[in-house]
Amino acid sequence: MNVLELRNLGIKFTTPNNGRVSRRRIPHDNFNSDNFPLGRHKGQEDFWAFRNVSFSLKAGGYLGIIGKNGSGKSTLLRVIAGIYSPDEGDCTVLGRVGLLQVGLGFHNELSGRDNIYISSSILGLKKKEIDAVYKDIVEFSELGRFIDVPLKAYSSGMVARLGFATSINLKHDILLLDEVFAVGDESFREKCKDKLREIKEAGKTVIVVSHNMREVKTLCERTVVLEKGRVLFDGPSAEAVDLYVKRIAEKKQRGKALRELQ
Amino acid sequence: MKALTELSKLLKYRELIKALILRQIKIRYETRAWGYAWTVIEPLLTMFVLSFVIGTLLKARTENFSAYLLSGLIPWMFFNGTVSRSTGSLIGNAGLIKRVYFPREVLVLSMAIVNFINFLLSFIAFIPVMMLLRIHLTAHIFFLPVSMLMLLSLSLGFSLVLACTNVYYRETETWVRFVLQIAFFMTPIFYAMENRIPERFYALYLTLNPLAVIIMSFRGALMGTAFPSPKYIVISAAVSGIVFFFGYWVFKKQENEAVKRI
Repeated sequence: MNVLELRNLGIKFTTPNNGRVSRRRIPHDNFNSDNFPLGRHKGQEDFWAFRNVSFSLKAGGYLGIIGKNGSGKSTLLRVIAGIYSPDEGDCTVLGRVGLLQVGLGFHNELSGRDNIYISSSILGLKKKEIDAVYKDIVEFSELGRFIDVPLKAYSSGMVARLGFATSINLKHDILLLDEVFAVGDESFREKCKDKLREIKEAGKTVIVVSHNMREVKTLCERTVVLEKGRVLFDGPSAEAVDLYVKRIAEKKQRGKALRELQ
Repeated sequence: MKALTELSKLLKYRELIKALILRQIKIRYETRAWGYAWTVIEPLLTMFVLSFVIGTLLKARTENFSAYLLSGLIPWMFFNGTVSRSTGSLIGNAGLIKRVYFPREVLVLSMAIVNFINFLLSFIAFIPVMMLLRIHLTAHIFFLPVSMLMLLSLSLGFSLVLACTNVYYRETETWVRFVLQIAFFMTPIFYAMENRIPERFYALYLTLNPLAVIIMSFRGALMGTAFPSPKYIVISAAVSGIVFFFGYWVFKKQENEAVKRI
């Protein structure tokens, strides 16, 4: 049973120009969704963040996604999370899906308590569900009596811990992680990893985007390598990481050779 | 019809709407020393300034000028606040929009509800003024909910279109501020239509300015002054409804593309 199925998924962006340059319209399509409200402007170009991406995923386990900056990893996660709607192909998801978001909707002027409640509601938890996990969150974030103080008085580590503790209680079936391991000190990171292991044992599906190859290798059984918006490789993590590292080394070599030539 | 099914979908997001309203209200009032009292103080202060300048210095010809002013100012401040704040609501909440999925009209809607709560609280300011000036409530007060509904739908319609437009043209916010200033003078808030507009323009004025009709009917309901004739009330109700559905339609049509451009 596939919980996630991507078929020829593609997403297109238009370079913004803030309505400047020229007000000339393209005459034949005055009013469609991508040239509101005065028509397409000069200097605007379409580009595909990725195209023809297809893969499917069974329930349970970790999937890694690796690739260079700009290869479309984060955009892909956003499409899976429903934030962007695909311009091409389709994306079917079974169950609740969401990005793990550290400190979503946090506001500096509000207390830790208010932020926990508000952030969790934005993440889709009901009041009762939040009441149930509130104590755990406070404990996990190690904030103690600071919980009723406005966020602006916190150190950045405190904000990060509160953010992680709040976000990790998601009731999602598919959890999307976009570079979330760079938070807090060593001991806190260990706690986070324990929590992720717990999630895995609960039979949830997790998709991880990371630049940390060791992490991808140890956490995920399967990894997808993205390059320039297409799937380069999809298979066992060890092979994927090897391929990716080789690609980067090759590119470096080529650059070096080119420079020497000049 | 489609707009109605979309609206019913919003019910699923009521926890989120509640959280966003709470967040707005807490940020707006709990961070201030005088807190919620500002909902009453703000219209009263504006009333004092205007009634001194216009009522005393310029010798207004309207009787009970302070009450007259306040009964127009309160709905005006709702309209002004909702439209101007909503215009920036998509851009201002980019952090939420890019990180979690929800129907984005929720942002505009919650902004309108926050202002509506503020608007209801402002009516408290009206009570001492009425007692002081010995104005008695009449049966006209039952028309108040109708005026409120018209005001709400007109404000929401404009807010939805402008929030969307602001993503494409950032200067929308600046224009809105300017146009709202003109609208303030075009609407019988600190003057009576009968005193300032030549009689042959009544029909034109009342047809083109639904806000004028709404504010006049507010005043009629609160103070027992003359209502605009039923014909114009029907016209403005229709215009308000059309503006709302048009706004919602535009918003839904543009939503996906706008999210990519934020």
